[in-house]
Amino acid sequence: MRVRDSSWTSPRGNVESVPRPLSSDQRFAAENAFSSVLVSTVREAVGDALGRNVLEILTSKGLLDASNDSKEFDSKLQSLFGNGAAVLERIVVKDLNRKLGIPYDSEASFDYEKSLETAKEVCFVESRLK
Amino acid sequence: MTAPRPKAGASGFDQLFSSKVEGGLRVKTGIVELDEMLRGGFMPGDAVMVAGSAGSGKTTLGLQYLFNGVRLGEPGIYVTFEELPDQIYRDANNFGWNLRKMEEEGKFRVICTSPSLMLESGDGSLLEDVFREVQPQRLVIDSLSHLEMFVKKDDMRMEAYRMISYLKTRGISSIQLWESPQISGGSFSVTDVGLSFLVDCIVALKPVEIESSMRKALVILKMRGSDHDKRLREFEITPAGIKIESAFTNYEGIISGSPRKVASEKFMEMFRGASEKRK
Amino acid sequence: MFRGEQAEMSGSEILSTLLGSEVRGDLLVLFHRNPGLIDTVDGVARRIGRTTVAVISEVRELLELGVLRQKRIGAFEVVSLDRAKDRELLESVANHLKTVRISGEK
Repeated sequence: MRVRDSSWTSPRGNVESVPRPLSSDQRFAAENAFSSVLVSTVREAVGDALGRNVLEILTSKGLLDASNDSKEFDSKLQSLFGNGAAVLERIVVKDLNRKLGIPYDSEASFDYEKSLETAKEVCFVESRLK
Repeated sequence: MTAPRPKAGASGFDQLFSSKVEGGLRVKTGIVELDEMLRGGFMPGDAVMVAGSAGSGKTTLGLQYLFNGVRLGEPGIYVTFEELPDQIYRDANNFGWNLRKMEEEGKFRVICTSPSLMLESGDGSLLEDVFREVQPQRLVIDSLSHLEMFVKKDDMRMEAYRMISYLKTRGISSIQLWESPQISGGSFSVTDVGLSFLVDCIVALKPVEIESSMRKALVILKMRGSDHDKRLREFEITPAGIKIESAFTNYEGIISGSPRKVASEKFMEMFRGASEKRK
Repeated sequence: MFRGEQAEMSGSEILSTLLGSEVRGDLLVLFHRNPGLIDTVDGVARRIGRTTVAVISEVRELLELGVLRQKRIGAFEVVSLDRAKDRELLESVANHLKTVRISGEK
């Protein structure tokens, strides 16, 4: 069971009041909202980096379908781009963070899965505070 | 059988297209009422200044002028000094203007550069490549006021003259956007660096407060070589772009910033009020 | 900096060069989102929130590849996207990716 403090520091770095727990419907809606933002961000990032033709090819290979599973997405990117996969993942995270108001530090060590978890948490908190 | 009534606003574009040939040599904005105010459109090759405060609709007017120009077969270029030009593509998309598609078709370009480079390019070399590719007939500079930050006040007029001359020698009909903190009084001077005399036409946009609500006003302050509508007209920014409404006939002092109802309108209000009380 | 003559590169080689670093990725996104951008290396660096030192070698790589082109404007050297070459290179990348099997692909 989660122990609540009177306040907490959000991934944005702001001290905010304790968010209320989500109902299952709210959770479902929040998951969908995040998924939608993530897929559109991946689409924009890949399209803007490598062009629409490349994006169409990758879509046909199921890359966008894997967007919501960070491990599967990373694995698919690695098989296609090798070391370039990390560059694309950084572009995705930068754009996602910009949309969600989360600071991005290019000097910090990069973990795609953790970055998405942080972004998801911010999305969920937004839902709880509404 | 009577001729169909022209449709008002941006939705009347198709009506406008057929009149392009009949209207003779004019550069149409594609905004029906504005072209009527201009007696058909701008004069070809003219340098037009669109002046207004931040958020008054200058960029929208500039983009709409170029977008409609492409539809009329006149390629265009939008030159911006903004830090984030991809915002322009997004803003245009909101009006249904797909600028990226027009770029792919080679009919349009958004050029983003810095004012210092524009000033450095005295011989026009900065834009020569894109001029060769697109062969523009229209161009918008967003905005001339950005250049003011990079030159001495005394040199601004010379730099603006150089730019305007460069575009005129290429037969390009240009709109220069100018951010004015205020446009007031009856004078033609909308800039504080004497640029009003360099341009052929000045369109001023001004937000006005009337009866506790903010409305937008447009007026043609100057137009060389042509008659024009001298009335102050209200305009709106709709989901399809700028739409010009009726003139502010019941008000005066709008440009000076102190709008008030004209005496005759006040009298009528009092008369109506008195009649209501007697009933 | 100059655009060097080079043998035709494979799609895979082009891809490795394009995605060779995070900064290069940022530059690609900047110029693809703003294809009409014409600026100095200093100006480009500022637009992506980097220093000139961090960007200059990456811009040089993209100039060598031909994605970017360079021109002199008065006292300044400016860079801009070479749209035709960019389209050609991305077409090669797309053709290469068509042949690559993605993990889990049937």
